[in-house]
Amino acid sequence: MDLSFQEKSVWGSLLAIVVSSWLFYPHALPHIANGGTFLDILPRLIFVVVVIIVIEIVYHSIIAARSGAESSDERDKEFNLKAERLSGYVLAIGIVLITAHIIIRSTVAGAPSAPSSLLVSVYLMLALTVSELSKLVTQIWYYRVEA
Amino acid sequence: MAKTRVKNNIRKLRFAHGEMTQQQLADEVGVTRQTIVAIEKEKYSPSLDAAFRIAIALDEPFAMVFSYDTAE
Repeated sequence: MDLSFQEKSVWGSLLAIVVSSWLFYPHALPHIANGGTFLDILPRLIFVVVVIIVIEIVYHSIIAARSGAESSDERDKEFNLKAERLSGYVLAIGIVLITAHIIIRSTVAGAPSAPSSLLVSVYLMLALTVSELSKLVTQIWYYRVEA
Repeated sequence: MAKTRVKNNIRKLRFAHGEMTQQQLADEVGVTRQTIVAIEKEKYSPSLDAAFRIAIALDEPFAMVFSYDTAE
C-alpha cells in the first residue's frame, strides 16, 4: 500500500486506541458494575494512558525516521473534517443512549437501580473512545477509497 | 468511489514538462505525492487553489489541465 505520512499516522492512532480499549474496558466495566471504586481502576487507567503515549511516540518516531514527516495537505484536512463530523454524531448518539439508560433505570419500576456516577463516567469514556474509533476508521476508509 | 467529474491531463502534461515526477509536482504544489496520485486518477477533486497551482507548476493554462465533465 502506498500510504502518506498522515495516513500512517492515523493507522498508528487506531492501533493505540484499539490496544488501550482492549486493555481497559473489559477490565474496568465489570469491575465498576460490581461495586468497584475509582481507586481500584486508577492503576489500570494510568497504565493505559502510558501505553497510548508510548505507542504513539514510538510508532510516529519510526514512520518519521523511515519516510520523513510530512505536514497535512488539503486532502488530509478534508478527510479529517469529514471524519470529525461523523465522530460528532457517534458521540451524540452515545450520550443520548447513556442518558436514556440512566433515565430508564431511575424511573421505570422494577428496573435495576440507576448506575453509579463512576459507571456513568466510564460509559462516557467508552462513548468518547467509540467516537474516536469511528473518526479514525472513517479517515482510513476515505484514504483507501480515494487512494 | 466513483471518479470525480473534474477531468485532467496532468499525467500527460507532466511527461510533456520534462518528465516531471509526481513527487516533483507535489513539492511544487505543496501537497503530498498521494494527493497528486488521487487527482491524476480523478478520484479526488483538488481545491481551486491547488488546481491553479498545478496549472502554474505545469506552465499551462488552467483549461489545458482541467476540464469538467458535464455529461449526465
